[in-house]
This record gives sequence, C-alpha cells and structure tokens, in this order.
Amino acid sequence: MILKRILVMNLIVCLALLQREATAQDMRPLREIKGVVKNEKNIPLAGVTVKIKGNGKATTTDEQGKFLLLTSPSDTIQLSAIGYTPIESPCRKISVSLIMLTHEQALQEVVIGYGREKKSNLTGSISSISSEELEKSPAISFDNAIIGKAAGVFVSSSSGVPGSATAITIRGLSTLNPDGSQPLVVIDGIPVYGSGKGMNNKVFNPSTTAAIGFGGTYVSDRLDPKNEFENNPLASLNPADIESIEILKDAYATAIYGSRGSAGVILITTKKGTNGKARFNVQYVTGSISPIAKYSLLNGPQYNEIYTEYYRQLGLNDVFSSPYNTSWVDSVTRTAISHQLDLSMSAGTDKARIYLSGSYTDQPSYIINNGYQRYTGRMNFTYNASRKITVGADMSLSYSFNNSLNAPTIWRQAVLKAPNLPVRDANGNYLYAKGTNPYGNDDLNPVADANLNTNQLEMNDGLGNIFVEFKPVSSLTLRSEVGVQLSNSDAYTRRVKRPSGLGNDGIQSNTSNKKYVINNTATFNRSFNRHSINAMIGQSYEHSNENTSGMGGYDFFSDDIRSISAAGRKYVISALRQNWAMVSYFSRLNYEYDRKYLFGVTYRIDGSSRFSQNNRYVGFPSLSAGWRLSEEDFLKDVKWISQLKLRGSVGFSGNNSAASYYGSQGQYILNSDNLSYAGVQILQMAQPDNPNLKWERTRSYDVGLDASLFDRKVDITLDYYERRIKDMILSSAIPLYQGWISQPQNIGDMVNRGAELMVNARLISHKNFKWNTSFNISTNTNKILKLNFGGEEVGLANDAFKYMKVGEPAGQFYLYDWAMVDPSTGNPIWGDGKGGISMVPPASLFAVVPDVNDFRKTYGTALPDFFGGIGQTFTYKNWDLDFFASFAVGSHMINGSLASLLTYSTADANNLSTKILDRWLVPGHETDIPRLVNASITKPQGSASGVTDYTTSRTNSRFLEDASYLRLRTVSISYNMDAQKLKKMTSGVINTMRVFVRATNLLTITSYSGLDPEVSAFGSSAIQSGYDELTMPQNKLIQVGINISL
Amino acid sequence: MSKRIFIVSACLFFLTVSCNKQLDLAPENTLVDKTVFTTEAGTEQALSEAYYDFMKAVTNGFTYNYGDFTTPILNKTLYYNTYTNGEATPTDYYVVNTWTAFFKAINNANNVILKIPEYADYSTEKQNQFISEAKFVRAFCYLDLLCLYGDEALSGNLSGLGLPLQLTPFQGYNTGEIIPRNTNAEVFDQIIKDLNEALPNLPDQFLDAVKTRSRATSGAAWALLARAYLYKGDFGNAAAAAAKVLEKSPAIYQLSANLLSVFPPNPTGSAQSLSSEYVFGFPVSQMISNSTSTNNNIGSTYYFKRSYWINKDFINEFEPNDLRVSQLIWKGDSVYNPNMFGEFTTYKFNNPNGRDNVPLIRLPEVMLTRAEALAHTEGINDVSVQLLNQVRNRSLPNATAYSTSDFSSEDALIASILRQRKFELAFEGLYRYDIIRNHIPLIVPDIPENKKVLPIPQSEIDISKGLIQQNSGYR
Repeated sequence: MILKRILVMNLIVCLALLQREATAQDMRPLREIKGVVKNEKNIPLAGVTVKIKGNGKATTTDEQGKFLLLTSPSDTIQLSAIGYTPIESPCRKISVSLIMLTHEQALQEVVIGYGREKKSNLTGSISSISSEELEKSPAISFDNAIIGKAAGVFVSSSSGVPGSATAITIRGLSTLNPDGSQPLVVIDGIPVYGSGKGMNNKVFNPSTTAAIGFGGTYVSDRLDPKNEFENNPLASLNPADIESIEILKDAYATAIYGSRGSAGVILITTKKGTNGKARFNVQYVTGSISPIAKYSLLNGPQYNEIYTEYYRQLGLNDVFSSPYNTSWVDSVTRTAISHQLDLSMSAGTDKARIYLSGSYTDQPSYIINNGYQRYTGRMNFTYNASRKITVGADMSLSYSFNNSLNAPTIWRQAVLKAPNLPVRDANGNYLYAKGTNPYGNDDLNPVADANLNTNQLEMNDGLGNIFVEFKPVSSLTLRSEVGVQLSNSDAYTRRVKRPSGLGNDGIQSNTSNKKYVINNTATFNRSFNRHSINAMIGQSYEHSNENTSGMGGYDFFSDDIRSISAAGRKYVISALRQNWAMVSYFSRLNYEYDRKYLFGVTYRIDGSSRFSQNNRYVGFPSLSAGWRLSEEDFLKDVKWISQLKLRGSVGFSGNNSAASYYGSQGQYILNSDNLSYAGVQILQMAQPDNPNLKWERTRSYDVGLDASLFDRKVDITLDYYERRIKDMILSSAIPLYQGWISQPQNIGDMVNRGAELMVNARLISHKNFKWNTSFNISTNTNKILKLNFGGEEVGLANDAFKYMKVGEPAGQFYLYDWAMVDPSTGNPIWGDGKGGISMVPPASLFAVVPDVNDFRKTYGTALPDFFGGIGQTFTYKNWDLDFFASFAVGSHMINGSLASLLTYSTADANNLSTKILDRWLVPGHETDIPRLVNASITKPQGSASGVTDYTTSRTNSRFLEDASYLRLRTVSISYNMDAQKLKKMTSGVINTMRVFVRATNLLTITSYSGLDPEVSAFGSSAIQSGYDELTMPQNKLIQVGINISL
Repeated sequence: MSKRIFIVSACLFFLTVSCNKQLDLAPENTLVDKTVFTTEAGTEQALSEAYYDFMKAVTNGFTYNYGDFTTPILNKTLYYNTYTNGEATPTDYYVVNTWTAFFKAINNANNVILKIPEYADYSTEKQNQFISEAKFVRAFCYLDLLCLYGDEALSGNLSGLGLPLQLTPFQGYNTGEIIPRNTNAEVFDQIIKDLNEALPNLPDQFLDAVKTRSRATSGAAWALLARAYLYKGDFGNAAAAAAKVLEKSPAIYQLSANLLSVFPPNPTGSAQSLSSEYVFGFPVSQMISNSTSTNNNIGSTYYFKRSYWINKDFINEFEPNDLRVSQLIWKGDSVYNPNMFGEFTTYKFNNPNGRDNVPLIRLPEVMLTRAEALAHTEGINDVSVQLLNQVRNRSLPNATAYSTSDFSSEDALIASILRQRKFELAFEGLYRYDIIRNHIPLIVPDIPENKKVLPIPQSEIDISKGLIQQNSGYR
C-alpha cells in the first residue's frame, strides 16, 4: 500500500512540475571579466559552472578556480557546483573573487533520520558534533571522543584497555535490562552493530583458572572480575573519517527509528569528496602512553610485617619472611609509544566526487607485551549520472588486532601479587609458587603471563552502502540504498603450561555477523507563498545473521603448538547461528508557515521477528512544533537577538533490547542428560510461549529553546525533557501455579526527567586573537514508577547487587551501614539500619533474623546528578591553544579495588594498600582501618558457614565513595604555518601545515580515592556501573603531531 | 537511463514489501511449538516431559515419603518434626518446591492438551490418545496436590479450599489475573472429569510392556478414578471404578506369587522390569542419562536410615510369618551409618543409590479399594472378604482365609481391610491419606484436621494480594 502511494505521488509530482526556462536578450557591449572561486577554507574550486543569467553562455573554472567570461556590466553571473549552494554576482567589476559555501555550511544543515534539515528549522532536540571537535581527541573510537561534548549524553570509558567498551547513556537509563541502555548507532544511514555485552563479550579460559579464595576465610559479597573482555565495536570506525555526529535525543528526532530509538540514536556521517582540485591530507601523531596513576602498595618488608602480625594475632605461628622486594606493577607496566597515521584525499568535479582515506593506529597498552593495532580504509564516491540521477557508494574496511585482552588480568594480578617474591627464581625461571610464604597463590606470575601467554582478538569490519537518487523534479527526491555490514571477530587465547601443570590450554572463538539493510525513501521539498513543506515517506528492511562458534582444547604436547586441533583434548563451546529481521515503514512531514511557525509529525511502524505474532507490529508517532520568535515583529528590531526559537515535541519510541531471539515463542530442547521416559526421549520446554509480551515503550516530552545572540556570537540551547518508559521487560515472579517461577514480563514503568544547557560563544574574534568557549551541563533524575513485584528487588541487575524500588532511582547501591572503627577496641561498628549501632556485622545474621536486608539502606546510584564539559580555544596569530575538560557530579563508586587491597584474611595473602599501615593499634587510636583480627571477620551466627570477612564486602558502605570528577581530557598547543609563506617555500605543493603537542588525561580533580573515578567493572552496562574492581585506569598520553595538507 | 534507474529503484521497493513472512524466523538450536507438535514423534517427546516432570514432582524432596513418615509406621529425625506437627512455614523450601513441581508437570500436560489441536498433523486417534494421557497426568497431579494442600480435602470437607484449577498452559501473565482456589469438590470433579474424558481414548496396553505400566492406560485411569472416588468418600463409584481394573486381571494385571518379583533385589542398580502388579509406576531403573543415572530420591534415604527408619511397633503388628516382614523388611546399610545398624528399613527400595522403580498404583491397592468401598456400600460381603484374602494370603500363604463370619460388623471388616492396606502399601506414600480420611491418628495424635495439610506457598498469597487464601490451619 505504502509503496503504491509513493509511486502515485511520484507520478503526480512529475506531471505537475514541468521545468520552465525564461529567455531574454541583452545587447549591451561585452567585455571580459576575470574571476576566482574558492570555498570557505580558501581552497580554489575547479569545475564550477559559471553562467550568465538569462543567456545561455557559460564556462567552468580551471584547476586554480579561475574563469574568464565575456559579459556586459548589467549582467549577473550564476555559479553552481554540486554540493555547494548556488550564488549570483553582478558583473560591474572586471575582476571578482567569489566564495562558495557547501550546502551544509550555507544552510547549517544537520543530519536527521533518513534526511537532512536546516538547523534553524529543527523542532527536535539534536546535538551535533563536528569533525573539528573530534580531531581534538586522540581517542581511537568516536564514543571516547565525544565524552562531555554533548548535553544529555553521558559516556564513560570503562577501562584503560585499548579497544574496550564504553557505557553511553542518553538522557538517563532507558530500561532495567542491564544491556539495554545503549543507543542505536547509524553510519551513513545504515544501523550498525552497536555496543552491548551480549554481542561483544569475549570469554576466555572459563574452566581452568586457578581458584581465588580457596579454603579458609571468604569475603562476603565480593566481585571477582571474570575472565572476559567486552570489545568496543565502535572502534572499527576511524574517527578521522567522520564529518559529523548527530545525537538524536527527543521523541521527534528518535521516533523515526521507532522500536530502537528509546535509548537515543547516534547518526554518523562520514566525509565526502568536495569539489575542486584534489586535496591530500597527512597527519602523523606519536607519543607516550602511561597509566594515569598507580596504587600505593606495600613493599616486601612491609608485607612480611603485616601478614606475620595478622597470623600471630590469630595465634598461628605462620611467619612471612621472604627477603625479596619486587614491584610487580612496575614489572608489568611501561611507558609505551603510540603511532597514528592518517591519510586522506578529497576531490570532485560536477560529475563526480570522491573521498579516500587510510589510517594506521598503533596504540600499545601500558601493560607490557599488550597492545592494539588498527588499519582502516574508506572510499566515499558520488557520481551524477545525469541531471536527475545521482549514484554513490560509501565503503569502509577495517582490521584491528587487539592483543591486550589479558591486560586487565595481568594488571590485577600484579597489583595483588605478594611483593616479597621475585619474578624469577635462582635458576632464572619464572617463579609461580609462593616461595617461603605460608599462604598465597601457588600458581601465579603476571610477568610470565604477560610475556608467554597469548590473548588476542582480530576484528574485520566491512561496512558499505550504495545508493541511487532520482530527482524527477527539483522538489522530489527518490532514494534507494542498500547497506551491508560484515563484522567478523576471531578471538584466540593460549596459555602455556605452568610448573603446577595448569594452563596448557587454548580457546578459539569466532563470531561472524552479517547484516543487510534496504532503505527506500521519497522526499518532497517545496515552498510556495508563505508555506514550506518538507515531507518524507519511506520503508526499510533489515536482516541480521549472527554466527558464533567456539572451541577449546587442553593438554597440548608443546607450548609451541598453537592450533586447537592439535590439542590432546578438545571440546566445542558453541556453534550457533541466529537471525533477526525487521520491516519498517516511516514518514515525516515538516511544515513551515511564514518562517515563523514550524510543525512536524512523524510516524513509524516497526515489525520485528523478535516479537511474537500478537505484538509484532507497533507504531511510533511523534509531533512537534516550533515558534521562531525572532521573526515576529516585536522581536525583529531587538538587535542583540539574532535568532530565537521555542520548540516542543512529544512522541513515542521503543526498546527491543530485552527481546530475545525469536521472541516469545515456546521453545523446546532435548533433555540435557539425554534422558528418556519409558523409551521416549524427553523434550524439555526451555521457554514457554509468551505471546502477549509487549514492546517497551518510551513516551518523551521535550521543550527547548534555541537562541543566537549578539550578532550570532553566542549560541544557546536549552532543553527540558521527561521520558516515561512503560512496560519494561524483566524476568519476574509469576504465580507458581502457572508452572514457572519467573518469566519475562512487562513489569514496570520508569521516568527520567532532566534539563540540558549548551552554550557556544565566540567571545573574541579579533584578527590576531580569537577566544571561543563552549560549555554544556545536563542533569537527569530517574525514578521507578511501578514494579509488579513487591516493590524492591536486590541483585536484580545480575551480579551488581543493585536495588530497585518504586519511587526511587533504578540501580541503587543497597548497603550495610559501616559506621566507624571503634577507637577503644579497633572493631568495626555497624549501623543496624534503625538508628542503633552494633558490633556484629549485620550481614552475618542471615540465619537468625527474618530478613537481613532490613539492615541495609540505599546510598544513591552510580550515575551522576550533573555532568557536562567545558572547552576553551584561544587563537593568537598562528598559535592555537585548546583545553577541554569534562565533569560529573554526584556519581558514586564502590571502591572494590581498595576492598581487595584491604583483604588480608583469605589464604590468598594478596598484597595490600599502604593504608593498612594505619590499622588500629592501641586503644584510643582513631583510624578508618580496623585492627587486623577483628570482630567483623567472623563466623555468621546460627549458620554452618565458615569464617567470613565482612569488613571488605562490596555491600558495605565502607567502600562507597563520591566519584564526582573534573577531568582535563585534552590540552593542545598547535602552530599553523603561514599559508602564503608555506606556498612560496614549497612552490605551491603544501597548502597548510600544522604541528601540535597534545596531552590527554593530564589532570583529574576528584575526591575518589581510587585511581580513576570513571572506570566500570561492568563494561558498557550503565545500570551495573559503579564498581572499580582493580579495573585498569585510563591512559595518560603526551603526543606530538604534524598535519600537512597538499 | 533515468527510466532504467527508476525501474531498478521501483524493483527495490517491491523487493522489500512482502517480507512479513521473513519475520517468522525459527531458531536453530531449539524447536518451536510448531515443529514439535506437528509430528507424532515430537508430541510424544513433549508428552514425555509431562510424565518426567510428574515423576520429579512425586519423587522431589520428601513428597513420596511424606505419606509414611508422618504416620506411626516410621521413626524419623527431629528435622522432620515441623512437617509432622503441622508447623511447616509457608516459605518452607519443600512446601514451595513441591507445589511448584506439580504445577510444572500440570503446565506441561496443559501445553500438550492445548497445542495438539492447534498444530497436529497425524492420526486423530493418536492425537486423542496423547491428549488423554496428558489429562491423566493432570488428574494425577491434582489428586496429589489435593492430598498435600487441599484444606481438609481428605477429612471430608468438600467445601474447603482446594487448588487453583489452571487448565491452560502458561501464555503470559498479566498482573492481577489470578485464579483463586477452587473448592475441594471442584478439584475432585475436575479430576473425575479429566479421567472420564481420557478413558475412551486410552489404550488397554501398549506394545511395549514398560509403557503399559508407566504410561496412562485405561486400567491406570480407572484405578486413579477409584482412588479419587475413595478419597472423596464416593464409595459406590469407587467400587465400580475399581471393578473396571479388576476386569483386566489376569489379562493385564496379576498379583505376583513372589513378593521379590515385585520388589526385586537390586544391589547394582540395574534395569528392572515393572511386574504385572504395577498399574502405574515410574521406570526409574531403566532411565539412564549421559552423565549420571536417574535417582528416585527415595532409596538412599531408606537404605542408609539417616532420615527415617521403621518403628518396631509396626513390625510387631504384622501376623507371624508374614512374608512382607521377612522379605520386605531388612536392615539395609551395614557399613556407613553405624549408629543405625540395629534399625530396620524397607526392602521395597533396596538399591542404595535410589535406582529402583517407583510404584504409584499397584493392583493390591485397587483390590483393597474395591473391598473397602463395597464394605461401605453393602456391609459385610463376600467380594470384599475375598479380595482381602487374596492380598493377605499372598503374604501369609499358610494362614486361614477370612470368611464373612469372622467379622462382627461392617466396621470390623473395614478395619481389617485398612490394616491390610497399611501392611501391603507401607512405604509407598499412601498410608497417611488412608488414616486421614478414616480419622485415625497420625504420628502426632492430637493434630487438628486443618493442620493435616501443608500451607500454601507464601509467594502465591503475596502475588495474588490475598486472593489465593492460606489454608485455615496456617492463617
């Protein structure tokens, strides 16, 4: 139906609009005029058509952008070039210099879903980030480069491992599903495989890792990071290829992406060729990489002292006396040297435009023998087959090799390894054992692991789309595009045989994801009288096929044997292919009246294979309105207001992250033990039919203000929003008589409310001195409105001990109250949750009180109350000085690193923080660190459990810290060579040259006592974030670079 | 040129229009409803899970043993006092798990009942048979649940609260859509209805002997019907239903001359056949999995006497030379649990690893049911005495058979029948229900009637906001 309508509409428009040509003659005397045409960057434009208005005569510009034309003084010349806004110029002078602006510049257009829109006409809330902003960051993936740059977009790098995931949250949590608050990423119109643990987690050596915490005392509620690595799929795109990033935030902008729009949409547009002479650009950057900080740990003698004292207090005669003194962290870290080379070429005529680029990135980790390399190539090509038809293709390939998957484990082990042991024994072999120490891990050597083991991930990512655009008349554009993404990853782990006999295993896993997308749109653009219409109707089909296979092997006869097939024993981990598909229809109508009043409406219908028949198709409408106040008579004369627009929107979007593959169909598997009943194999119901499961749905309101003041020197954008999320899907209890204990249900509602402010100001624009500043700040509050279960659930977000309750923000820390250390006894004092205090750790009472959670309290969430960024750019003559800082206020973090570094009670005998030196020693000693043997390392009451260490539990408020921070992300100083001199010196070969020095993560102001307030042990999951578990801190980079344009 | 491209783009439009079909994707590693229930083999495999879940429900926790350790025939450790005293809490692990396990089996049966008409593409005869088998499983589960949770269901209070009658499979839960508890009478009626509907389509026997005794047959359905009527107190129907089973004797069911062929010695846990006394039972000894052998969860408890052991008074109640003592009562373990070496246990589950078959309905039960029911309806009568003698004399071959004149009253005959039921069916999970319905004291003699059931799991009461009510003894 929709298709038919498109075709009919298309025909009508064809017939109705015939091109008209007016002709006129002018007989005045002719003379030659000379001209040169350049773009806004002062680059000459070749191939520009220069035509005399009303007369057929025309010419084109040459390589230097010059033209000659016979005109009469009363003539007007018209200049046109593809991608540029046509201009006209009178011919009174005989020599003219003309500047043509690209469409984007002329109209300040921004990319929106399936189209473009003039910035001044926007009625939705969209943040744009330009390539200039991205270039300031050394990050290898764009998500790291946009931290703090867009209001309402909170990005946090999970760790300092190259190529590791980030958590991106746009306007607060979008769902309670731990993997569901990631936005949709669309590159050149193609939705790509985005981040999220489900798709990107690489697990290695799950079965044969030496146990931590064997025997003896256990730590209550601890978090042991798993042997896994969450890859960042967004790193396959070279940020240097990005022309602009648009982040769609409100309903009007996101509803066009329907069921995937709820968590926001990031639209990425890559660079396209520009008209004129071919331009080449070369940039090379190199520099040093080191961790932003290291822990202050005990040295060998201190370690001996503490542990000997602890066991003596316990009444045991276990003496630690090993004489060595090794800094394991120093042994596994280094100052590494990074390299980044970017090459690009851009060229075009009015027939064809091309952009080519290639890049090489070498970003070693500060962990020895670990690093990340990437090669990318891109070609974007556009060809005007005729006046009405344009075809084109955007193609990119990238290959990355990441052998730093082991880095987090090595870092962690090095921090915890006993410092009184040497790296190598007397014979020069790696020492894995615990030497003369009575306790400790007998099978661990991080230096050996770093040097001998292999743990790598190879990624190949190909993304391409071809399109054809047909313009039967100037007001109508029909566009069809087909996009394909091929994303393969090959992870390989191999551990050598250790003296204990352990290790000697390998795992290889391959993931191969393929998707294709077909988008068809018809766009209609027309202005008449005071009316202006911009309408789009379209349809899309998307199909994804995801393959995984994995195998493992152990008992290799030699460490040099790499292939799993040659292992003594082999097993298959997985072999699975999964598909999903989506069919969508969408439309948008923007209407403008009298340049003052703006209206918009969008509607999208999504059908997904992930949902069952009963709820397969869902519609997502949105509405918006804008009022350009500055065009009204009462403001027209107010000089200091250049532009003022009030806008508002309301609409719906969805989230399909919680839907499993094949949705809610009943599924059956053979009994895992292959059992039969009376000779008939038992087919188990793995999942029941759940046909009424509904899509999660977000209803958003947004009111905003766009203002441009003081002769457009100051731009301000202000937004207030409310996002109400309905029918969140979570597995939750059902009546047991229905045959299951819990099933996915639409259980809850949640709301996010927040405000955003963005200010850009060109404060000073003198010829020799310029000062630009940008500032943004956002706030978001989250509240759960409804949950169908009792109203609270601990541990809902899997392993993260997070707490959900109606009326409170989602994902709170829910902790036992650690009050203080009793100065008279050195024992911890706990709050009992009712105002009293107790010497007994409340968590130990689980067997004797009805609900031990009564002792716990909520302590806020890991997400900040306020966050944003501040940028300052100063230009003095040829010098540029640029600062960028981001901040987050009100976020909390469990300093699990400190908890690990204060855990001395287990038989691991890990190294400790130097804070332990301030342990309670004598009555009257006021300190935060209890005496070594204390009443909170105890057996739980009334239970058969063994001795449990409650002092270092992660559900203990002792380690909860304010993780607010202000981080100076980048500082750079650059020098631009004088263009004229440069040309002379190089006889016109080099157009521009810039050299720069840049420092990244130079300074962080925070009260957080760990190394980095920004890390997350749970990767890309925002709801689980807020745990620092000896997670690798960010890199500090000091770089120098040169950029040459030919 | 432009025409060509126009056509190409129009084709692209068309290419993608009719792809609703492409949204019906099926997973590769699992089967979906359609693939399972279209074929006879798939349906039978799904039905197999209903039986298996029913078996797990019955053998889960102490469900099976509950019928014996709460009666005076067993001694037990202190741990079990809460269950015998009527003090189990509504959040108790066994209370919740037993309830859940039976309803899981019911859900699987419901699923088979619903999905066959929707998808099946094979003979209607087979379809009807599978549906009937599922109804048998559902009826059996509901009767077991009624015994465990129905408020005074066996004490004769038919208007007491029974169970929520969930007769359709889980297909999504909408908050607040709760089925409140039906009355005991309604649950009994549903059980009887299911069995009556199932009967015409159930085979008398299967080609495979194991299936005849471990899947639903018309004999098993009549026998279950007889038990349901007996528990309900409808003696006329109970006698009639039991007669239907006895009609199939000796063709299908037969009392074994040798007790040890019914409860064979099984020291190594090898596969044992189900004797012709089995009307319905679980062929546990024949179920072997890839990794480990299936366990009936009953045998090792008895063998090692760690939880319960036989009350010596019970042994003394038997008449001298009863083979049920000499052959079916022994000492079990003599290696691992020295404190208990002197105590006795049952030989009915003699494999230390629980690898014995589990009888649910044996022919003697049906015979004694008919005898008891007829005694109620007809007073002292020949048929009852004859049936009583058959059961008694099998184990006491030299004893003088009873005659009607041996019984002074109807009650004396009934008492004698119940005594044989106690001897014959001991340790088969039934005695508790015989004494509750006849108001004979349990192991804790003064326990009120409304404490003779388990409490309803608290989560059911919470999630239904009280619409599902707690049993009166636990409010």
